Amino acid sequence: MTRRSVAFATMTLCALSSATLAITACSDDATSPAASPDAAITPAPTSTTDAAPPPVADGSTDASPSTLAVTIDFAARVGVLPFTCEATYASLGTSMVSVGFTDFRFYVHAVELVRADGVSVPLTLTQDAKWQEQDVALLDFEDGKEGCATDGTPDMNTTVKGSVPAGTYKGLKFIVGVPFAKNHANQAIAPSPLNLGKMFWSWNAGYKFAKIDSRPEGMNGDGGPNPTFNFHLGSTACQGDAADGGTVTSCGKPNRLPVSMPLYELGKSKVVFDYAALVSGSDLLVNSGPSGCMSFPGDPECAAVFERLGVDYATGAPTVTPGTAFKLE
Amino acid sequence: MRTLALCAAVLVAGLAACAGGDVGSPSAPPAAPATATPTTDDAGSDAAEGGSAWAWDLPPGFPAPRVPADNPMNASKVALGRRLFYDVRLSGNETFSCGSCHEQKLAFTDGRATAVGSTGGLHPRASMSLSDVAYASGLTWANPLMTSLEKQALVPMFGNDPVELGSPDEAALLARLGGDPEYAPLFRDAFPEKAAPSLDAVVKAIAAFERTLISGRSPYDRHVAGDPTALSPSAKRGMDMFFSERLECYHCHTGFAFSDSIVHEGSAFFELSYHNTGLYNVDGAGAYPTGNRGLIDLTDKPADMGKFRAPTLRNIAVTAPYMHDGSVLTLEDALDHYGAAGRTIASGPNAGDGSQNPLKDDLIRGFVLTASEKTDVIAFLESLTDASFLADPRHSNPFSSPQRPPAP
Repeated sequence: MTRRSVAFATMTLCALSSATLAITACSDDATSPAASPDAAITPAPTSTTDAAPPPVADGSTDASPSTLAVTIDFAARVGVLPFTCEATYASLGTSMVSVGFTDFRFYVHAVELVRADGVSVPLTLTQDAKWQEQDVALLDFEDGKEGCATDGTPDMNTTVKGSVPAGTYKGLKFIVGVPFAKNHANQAIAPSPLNLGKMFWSWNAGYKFAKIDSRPEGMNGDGGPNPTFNFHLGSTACQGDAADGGTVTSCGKPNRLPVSMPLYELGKSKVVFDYAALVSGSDLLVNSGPSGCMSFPGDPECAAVFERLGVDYATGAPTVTPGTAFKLE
Repeated sequence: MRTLALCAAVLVAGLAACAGGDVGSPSAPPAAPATATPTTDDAGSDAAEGGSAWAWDLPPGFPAPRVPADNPMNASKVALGRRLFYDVRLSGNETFSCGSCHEQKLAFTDGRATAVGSTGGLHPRASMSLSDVAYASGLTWANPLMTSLEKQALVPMFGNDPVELGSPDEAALLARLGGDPEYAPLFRDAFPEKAAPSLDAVVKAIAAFERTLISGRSPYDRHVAGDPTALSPSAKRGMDMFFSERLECYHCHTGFAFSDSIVHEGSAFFELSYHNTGLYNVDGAGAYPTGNRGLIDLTDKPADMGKFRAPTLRNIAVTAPYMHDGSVLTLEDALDHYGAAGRTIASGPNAGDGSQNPLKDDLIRGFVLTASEKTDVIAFLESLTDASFLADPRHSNPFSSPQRPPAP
């Protein structure tokens, strides 16, 4: 390995800007829980329907004074350090091991800004035919180098871009994952970013909502060379109509994560996903069954990871107490 | 395909009954007719009369497979699918094709206990036989959501736990294939309604080829057709035991395809079953080893622990080792497993008495065979080997160079 080793002392710190850490799981406030066949679907904001969003000046976000162009910045971190495929990060998990990475991507959808009067307003995503499709966006922090060379691509995307009606906003909401209707449609003809093979989770009839894969040094692998501690988030316990091509009709454990950041400020705040926090309760040297946490029922490594994320592994619904992996700064 | 659950009863002639029986259910999904013109009610149907007409070459007594309305058969599509099936360009490092883990001479298995992917990743399960996969109502060992070959093809291509083929994404894959001048006319003829090659076309063509992998010309089939010399006396005795209530094999391995999860053009019902055969019992409560627990991994239902699909027994003699994890090495061992009503593992992490698995299928009751009886049952199982299928040039690798690298 030629990666440079980056040691750091306190991995849980996150340079948070003062009082901003307030992620709530937006569990009960929203409406229409029956909108999706998922058994424990996240409270669905009004924007989660699968109808195409209304056209906004042909996808561009400039233009008329009646709309406000918005860029939501995201960042991937490992503790206080920025994520990169080329670094090795020390002292992660309960066994304090060094970790390199092979991937770091996740989908979000139903992005909303909160207006001054408290009303959530859907962000109309710019349709770029690459990172954003209808109300779904892929955030991609890997650059295809070093450890990420196998699964990754050079292209990266750390923002969600779109527009809202002009106004004053404070507060951000989004859901990690792919919405139900898109999650179980035909992947072979899906538009980008839903046609990346590495994000297919075809055996379980959906997509990996998140694919964050690491290589802890010293891990004993039972899955072949270069043992990995993968984190693949996706809906599980899905039921389908077997006679109709296995069309999925519902998923017992949706495993979508609604994130609400009431202190988010447009143009100032940044949404941070912290891998060190995600695995702070996991022993990265220990694995049984699939590599790391692959979301499906009975994976011994999942409970701790899900708890930090903010999803109840037992039910697939958001936890009452928010997870610690997503932060605002 | 690697399991075998033995069963028994005598009415051999009844085997083919489910073939032609319930034709014409009004609720059956659209199916391709047995000859030429494909039916389609999908978009683009006006152009769906692809490349060349199609006629199944079915063994006597076999029904036509059910074909998705949006992927009608045609000869060009099958030829394209065959080439793609054997093309190592489908793997990321250009070393593996579908045929690397599905070798024709082994009834499209790989001879390994569990599969190894193109990058050396170890699969927890054994490569399944593709014999008569067109009739399988469910695909893979235990996935009730995986009922279409088109959808299934995406798993070996893009799955990464483990990596199987590790295919490049659509654009890169198509760019690679574009370097082979033979593909352009094949894609055009196979999919005249499509403007250009696509991932969708790739998986549809592979599925169409897989549907042609029909095996039904074994000595046993000749016996059923009336050839009194087709089976040895030993195989005939074994056949009688297989179809007896003493061994109970035939309940799960039933019908022309020797499986209870079969669908075809004439099916009025959709049957897809999974069984726990007492292969493990690691906690005394029925558990199978973590990471390879069967149907429960998809459904999350406790009762689905250890349940797997009963695969076809056609060509079973050439697909050792057996079961979902290749943990049963020989047909003799498989008979011993079922004879003992479940496997007992004395020590190690998987130790346990499978015969006491509380989730075990109640037809796994055990039996005692003399040495000569065991020989007879195995002779019958060997009579299901279809030599013409294993050597059929229509199913063979169209590339001249070896497609399989040395074993890692």
